[in-house]
Amino acid sequence: MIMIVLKDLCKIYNKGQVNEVAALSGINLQIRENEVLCLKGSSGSGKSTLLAIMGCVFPPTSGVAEVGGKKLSRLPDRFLTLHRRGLIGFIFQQFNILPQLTVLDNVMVPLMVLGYPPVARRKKALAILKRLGVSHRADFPASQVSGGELQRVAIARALVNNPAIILADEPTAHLDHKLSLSFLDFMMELKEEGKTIILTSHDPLVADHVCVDRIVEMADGRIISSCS
Amino acid sequence: MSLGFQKQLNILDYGLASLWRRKTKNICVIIVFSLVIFLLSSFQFLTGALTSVAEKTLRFAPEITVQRMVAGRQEQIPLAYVAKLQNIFGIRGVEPRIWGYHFSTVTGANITVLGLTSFDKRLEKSLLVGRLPRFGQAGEVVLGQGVVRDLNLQNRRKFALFRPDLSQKTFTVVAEFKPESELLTADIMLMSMADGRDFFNMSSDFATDLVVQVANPAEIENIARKIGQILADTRVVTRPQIQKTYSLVFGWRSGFGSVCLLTSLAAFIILAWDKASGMTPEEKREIGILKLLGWQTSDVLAVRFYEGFAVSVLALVLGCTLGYVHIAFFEGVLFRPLMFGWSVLTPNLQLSPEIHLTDVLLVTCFSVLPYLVATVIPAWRAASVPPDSAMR
Ligand SMILES: Nc1ncnc2c1ncn2[C@@H]1O[C@H](COP(=O)(O)OP(=O)(O)O)[C@@H](O)[C@H]1O
Ligand SMILES: [Mg+2]
Repeated sequence: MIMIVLKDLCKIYNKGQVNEVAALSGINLQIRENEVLCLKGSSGSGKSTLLAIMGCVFPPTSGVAEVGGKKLSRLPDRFLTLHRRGLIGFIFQQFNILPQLTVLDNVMVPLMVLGYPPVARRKKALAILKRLGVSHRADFPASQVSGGELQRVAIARALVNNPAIILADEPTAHLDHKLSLSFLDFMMELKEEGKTIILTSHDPLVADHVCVDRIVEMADGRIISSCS
Repeated sequence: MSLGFQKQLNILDYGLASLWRRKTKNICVIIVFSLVIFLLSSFQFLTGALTSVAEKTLRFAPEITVQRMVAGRQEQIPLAYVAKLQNIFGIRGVEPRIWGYHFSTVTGANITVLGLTSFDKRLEKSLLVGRLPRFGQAGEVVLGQGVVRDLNLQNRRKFALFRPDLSQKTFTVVAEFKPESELLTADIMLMSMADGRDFFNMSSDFATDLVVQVANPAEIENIARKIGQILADTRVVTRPQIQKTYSLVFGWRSGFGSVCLLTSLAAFIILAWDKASGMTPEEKREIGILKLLGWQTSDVLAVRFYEGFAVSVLALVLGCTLGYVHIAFFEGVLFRPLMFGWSVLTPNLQLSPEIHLTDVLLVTCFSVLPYLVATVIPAWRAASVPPDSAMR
C-alpha cells in the first residue's frame, strides 16, 4: 500500500514578495507503507520543507500531496492539524522539547488535545517512557536532562499517540556516534512494528544503516537521485 | 464525559500549570491589577452609597419651598402670604419655616438652625435617635453629628449659644441625627419654631420661608408655577430641583473621579498590552511546538484565554472585595477629600454600599475584558500561521 504520494510538487515561500524562495520544484515521489526513506542533500536543498509537507504542516504551493490517503492541497490549517495529530509523529533536530515542562508533561502534550483524561494519559506516557528507558526521568524538568535522554523523550513524544508515519529531521545531528547508532537501531525496531519512517540527514551513518530501504538525494529543491 | 469536554479540561489544566510555573510574574500582575480594580470599584461603590444616602435623606425635603426675594436676595417672608396660597387647588398645607445659619465664634462651629414644622414630624422614626422637641418646651433641640462634635458636647445634654444681641440662650439636646444621614444632617440644629424665632430675634409676623405640601406629587411643578404667578416677589424651589442639584454635584464629582481612574486604567491596559504583545521567542516557539504536536489554533488560544481569565477574575474578586471593605468598613478614607470637599463640617458618616450588578459589570468591562483581549490577540497572531518555524 502507498502511504505518501507526491506529484509535481512545488513549494514557494513568500510567493509574490521580494523575498520569494522556490524551496521545492517538480517533486515526484511515492513512499510505501512500512518503508524507511532517507532524504539526503546539502543544507538548503529543501529536505525540511519536503518533510513539513509530508507532515501536513502546510500544503504545497502547487502539485499533489497525498498523505495517508488524504489530498492536502488547499486543505485549511484546521484540517491539516486534525489529520496530522492522528497520523504523524515528529522528531526534530533540536528535539523541540518544552524546557519548562517536566519530561512526563512533554510526552503527554499530544494526548491532551485528543481528550485523554489525566490518569489515562499519564499511564500511556509512562509506558512509552519506560520502553525508551527514561521513565526514571519522568518528573525531571526537561531542562535538566542530558542530550541523549532528551532525544529519547522526543521519540517517546512522537510515538505516544501511536502514529503510522514517523518524520525525523536531522535526528542524529546533535548526537555522538554511539547515540546515533542506538537511535537507528530503535528506528529498525519501529520498522519491524510496521511504521513508515522518513529521515533527513547528511550523515553517512544514517544513509548506510541497515534499516534504510531507500535513499533519495536532493539539491536545489529537486530530487537528483534515488537508490534502494 | 464527552471527549470535547475532557479536552477543554486538559487545556485548562495546561493553562493553570503554566500560570503556576510563572507564579512570581503572575502574582505581580494580579497585585497591580487588583489595585486598579480596587480603586475603580471603591469609587463605584462610594458614589453609589453616597447617592443612595442623599436620596434617602432628600426624600424628606419639602415638596415646595417659597422664598421672598428682595433685590435678588432672600428676605423674611410675611406670614400674610400663607393665606394667599390657601386657595390654590391641590395644596394640602402651607407652613412657615424658621431657619438660618449660626456661626459660633467660641467653638468655630458653623450651624444650620432649623425651626421644626409639622412636616418634619416624618423625620422622627427614620433619621433620629431620640425624640423631636415638644411643643411648649423651650430650648429642646435635635443635633447633627457634626454639631455635637464641634460644640464638643460629648455626653452633656445642655449648652448655650449667643443670640445676635449677645444674650445667651440655653438648649437641651433631646435627639441626635443618625450617623448614616450625616452627609446632609451633619451641621443641623433642629428646634421648635418659637425657639427659632427667639434665637434669631425674629418678629412673629415673619418667617424665613414657606413650605408647601402637595396632594399629588405629580402636580408639584404645576403648583409651583401657580404659586410663582400669585406671589410675584417670590422664588419657588421644588424637591425634584433640589434632588437634581445634588445628583449633578455628585455626578460631576464622580465623573471627574472616573476620568482620573480611567486614565490610570488605560495606563495599566497599555502596560498589559505591551507585556502580552511583546511575546518572547520562547512563547512563540511554545505555540509552534504545540501546533506541530496537533493542537489547533483554537486550543492554543483557549490556553491563553484560561490563563487571562484566571488572572483577571482573581484580580476582579480581590479588587472588588477590597473596594467593598474600603467603603463599608473604612468609610472610603482614600476618597474622602474628593467626595466631601464641599462640606463645611467634615461628615463622618457610615456608608453601606449596596452591590449593584451594573457597577460590577462596569468594573468588569474596564478590567477583565481589556486584559483578556491583550492576552489572547497576540497569541492568536502567533498561532494562526503554519508552525514550520518551530521545526527549524
Ligand atoms: N519559512 C521560510 N521562509 C522563507 N524561506 C524559507 C523558509 N524555510 C526555508 N526556506 C528556504 O527554503 C530553502 C529550503 O530550506 P530547507 O527546506 O530548510 O532546506 P534543508 O532542510 O535541506 O536545509 C532554503 O533556501 C531556505 O532558505
Ligand atoms: Mg533542514
